[in-house]
Amino acid sequence: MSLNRAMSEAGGLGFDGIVAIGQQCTGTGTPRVIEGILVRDQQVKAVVRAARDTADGRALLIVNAGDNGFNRAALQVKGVHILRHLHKTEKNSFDHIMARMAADRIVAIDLDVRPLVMTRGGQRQKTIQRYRDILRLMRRFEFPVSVSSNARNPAELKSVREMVSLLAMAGMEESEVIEGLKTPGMLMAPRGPVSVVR
Amino acid sequence: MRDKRRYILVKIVPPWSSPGTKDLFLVIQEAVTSALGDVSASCIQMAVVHASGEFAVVRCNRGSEKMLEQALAAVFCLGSEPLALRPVATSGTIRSLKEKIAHAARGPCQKKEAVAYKGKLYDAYCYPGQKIDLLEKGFKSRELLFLTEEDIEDK
Repeated sequence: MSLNRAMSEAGGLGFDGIVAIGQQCTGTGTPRVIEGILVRDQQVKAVVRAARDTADGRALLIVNAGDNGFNRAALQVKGVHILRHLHKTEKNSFDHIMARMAADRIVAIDLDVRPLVMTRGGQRQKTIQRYRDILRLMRRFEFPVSVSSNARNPAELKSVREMVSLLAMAGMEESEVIEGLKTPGMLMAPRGPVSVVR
Repeated sequence: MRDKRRYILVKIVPPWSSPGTKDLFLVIQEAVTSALGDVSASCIQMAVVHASGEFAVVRCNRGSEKMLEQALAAVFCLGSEPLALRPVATSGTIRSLKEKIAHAARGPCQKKEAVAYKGKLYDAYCYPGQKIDLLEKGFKSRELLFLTEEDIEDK
């Protein structure tokens, strides 16, 4: 799916922005495109390098989760915005200590609807269980959660209504899903003290 | 006593796939059973009552619309090709949904035409919104590209 097509489809579904991995950020136009940098390597060095490259705040830094040690180290790297694919990792890879760390450092945990759509049986049950665990920690420690479709074609792109339906499987409330959809925009422009612009 | 029914209007994506009612029934039934289990599936009593072009009407028992929508969102393919069923509206009558189809329809999908793109031959499906779907000509593992007219012109 080309970027133009993704923008057209997302706009048709009512989204005002999309995160596109490896695409240039466009501030104008609807929907807005936020550049995403994805770190797939399970090495802290790669995360640190990517964080240094995106230090100017032009892109959203997304890291694929790994084991407990890697996730803890990734959460401590300044500039990481989102930790994703926790459903693919071991159960102990994200615990209450990391939940507190994510809340303090404002790092979002991504909940991907793709495995809820694409998998069946035991695999989907495991994903739903992991999402339930993450949501329980989110309600207690109040770290941000982002929601993504991880779409590669128009059929995989989900509307807000569909995302609410799918994530209801994991016990996520409609308001939480809507907050989750706003998270990438919030991470790119975090709330801070009011500054005077002259 | 006759059960109360609800009808859900769904949009078929991509629009050119236009599956038949039987294919749709089988794919939705699989999604309902896998997501909700046999007991819930029997309570929903799903049926596909109408399918033409880019819209279909799916029937369920009153009160089970949310569960059916949840299952519809989990449909992702028909055979080897991608398919999504997006709920648009829910109503108590088929008639009102057919009126909605008349308002929402974007006109018929144009007939496919042969296009060469990046040295390969494709069947191109063009439809409103300057969207173009390219399906590679051939029999096995055909490449499927989702582009816009702008992308083709840039090439």
